[in-house]
Amino acid sequence: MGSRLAKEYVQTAKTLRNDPAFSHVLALAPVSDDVLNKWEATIEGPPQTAYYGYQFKLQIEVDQNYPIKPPWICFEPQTVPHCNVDYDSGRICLNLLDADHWSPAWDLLHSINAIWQLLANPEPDSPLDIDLACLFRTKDYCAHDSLVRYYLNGGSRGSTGPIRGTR
Amino acid sequence: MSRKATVDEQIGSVTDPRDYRKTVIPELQDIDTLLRCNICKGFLKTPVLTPCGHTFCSLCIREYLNREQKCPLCLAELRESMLKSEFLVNEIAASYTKLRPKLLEFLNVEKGHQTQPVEDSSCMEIEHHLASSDRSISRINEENGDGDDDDIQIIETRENRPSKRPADAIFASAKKSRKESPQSGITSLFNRAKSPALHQPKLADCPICGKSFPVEVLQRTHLDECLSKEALDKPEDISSSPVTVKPALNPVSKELPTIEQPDFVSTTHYNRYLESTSNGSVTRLAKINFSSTSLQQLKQKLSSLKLPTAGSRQQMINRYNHYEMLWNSNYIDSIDPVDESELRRRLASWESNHNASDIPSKSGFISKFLIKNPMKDFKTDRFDRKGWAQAHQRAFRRLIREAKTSLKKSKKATSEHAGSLEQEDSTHLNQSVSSDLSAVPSNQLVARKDNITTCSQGSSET
Repeated sequence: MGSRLAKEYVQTAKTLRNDPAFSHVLALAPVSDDVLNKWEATIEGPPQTAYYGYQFKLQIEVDQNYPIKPPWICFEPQTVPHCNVDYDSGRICLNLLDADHWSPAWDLLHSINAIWQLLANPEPDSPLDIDLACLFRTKDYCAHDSLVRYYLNGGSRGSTGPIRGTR
Repeated sequence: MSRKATVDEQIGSVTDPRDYRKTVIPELQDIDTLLRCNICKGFLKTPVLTPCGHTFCSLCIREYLNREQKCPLCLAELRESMLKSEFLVNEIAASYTKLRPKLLEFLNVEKGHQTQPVEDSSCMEIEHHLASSDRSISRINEENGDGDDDDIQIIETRENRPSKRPADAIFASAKKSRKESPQSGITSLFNRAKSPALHQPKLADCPICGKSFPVEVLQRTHLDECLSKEALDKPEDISSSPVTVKPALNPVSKELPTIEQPDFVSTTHYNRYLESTSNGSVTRLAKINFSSTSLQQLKQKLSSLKLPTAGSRQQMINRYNHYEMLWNSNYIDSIDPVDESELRRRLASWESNHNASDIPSKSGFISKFLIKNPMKDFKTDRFDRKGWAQAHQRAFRRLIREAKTSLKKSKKATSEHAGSLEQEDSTHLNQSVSSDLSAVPSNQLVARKDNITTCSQGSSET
């Protein structure tokens, strides 16, 4: 597994340097060169969404049986208001990351890319944030986007979580 | 530090299709990518073909199929018995892997010699060549009337030309073929066949007429020709067809004597392919339905395969499953099966990493819990419930026992004396629980401990 991750490290680094298709992935690398099973990623908010102009950090842990088993990826807690992301823990609801839907042909960069696309295309039918999902389902995109912006700008979540620091 | 060194080593040894980007033929990265397994991202090792037409390393796909019965690429249903080995791809990948460093070296060197960007160099060179020859003609005309300066120039251009011309011609033809059709794997194959260094090591002897050809030519046309000609018994045609191929090879070996290598390098792969037969003598190792297998049967099965029978039931199951995978991959898919003892050695090395014995695994749990807060994902699917239960099995049993006895006692007590004794019993229960907890060797009972100790503290304070 170690060599596979090393391979992926090198290839990801090259892709990020050269491929403009992944320019929204600002960083994707192991936390340190000693341990290749913990990675960190930074992505940019997709354009034409309320997330545009913000950067989001992702924590990645790679299972010993990767790529047979999916990697475990989550946002930093309390940074991402999104109907498929648990705001307090940063957990992401994306079927790609389930053991059932994961395919070993995927790699970390593509997983991160899928998460980036999830930011732009919320899936309100399996929500982790009910409020945003309800707004999105009723097609009140204006309200949805402004609520997202409100949280991104440090708006309070009320009793559900502590007030997050300013970014 | 040693760990760090191995990581660096791993990174250093990584090959990437994009290595070709900076070479003369960047399209080669297509072949490089195609010859890799989509699961391990390495070059295909003992490739197998799925019914849906995808190819993976035998071990990679078998390991995945133990978990999910579908194709990783198209998600079509897939079972291990459907896999077919691909000897040809195996040999192509093997010979390509051998060839790769030389290929890269040569293509990079070639670029170093070129002064102009490669993309337009062919056309430029030709134009330049025409222009300079025109110029030299005009110079010659001028020379008749003019001074010595021009004479030097003429000599210069003439000196340069002869050495460059053959290479230019080859590259020009390669460029032409690339420009005619869109860039694809096939075009790069053509380029490969035309570029001198590329087809040179891909030679193979024809098994019928015994003459050597590029593998491509041999497989596509020559074998058929040769066979049909032999059937028709026309020896003069056989002699004529190699002649058409040979001249293309000869100037190459003249030009680049350093690249020339003995034919056996590539012929071994080809011979291996021709000689390969499906291994009918060794039987497939069957999957076991472990739920209906007793521990005794499992041990018997393992020892009949000369495998160790140590460890827990789960470890033995893992051991059998992995060995079954190695066995089937080796005897069914591999073109060149290894010995059983080698398989056992591979199993052992796998086991030291993945199927560790009880004690290290327990410390593994503990260190895992120490590193990250176990409560973080207590409620998510990621929480290792089995591991948690296993690690604290003893403590849980004792707690249950204590709770049962004290429950009995308290029932007895309440039936005899209502009220007054109750408190005594409950404090007794709490004391026993907390003392039990302190006796638990692992310090990882965070979840339960928190709840119980807080309540025991609460009641002991009262």
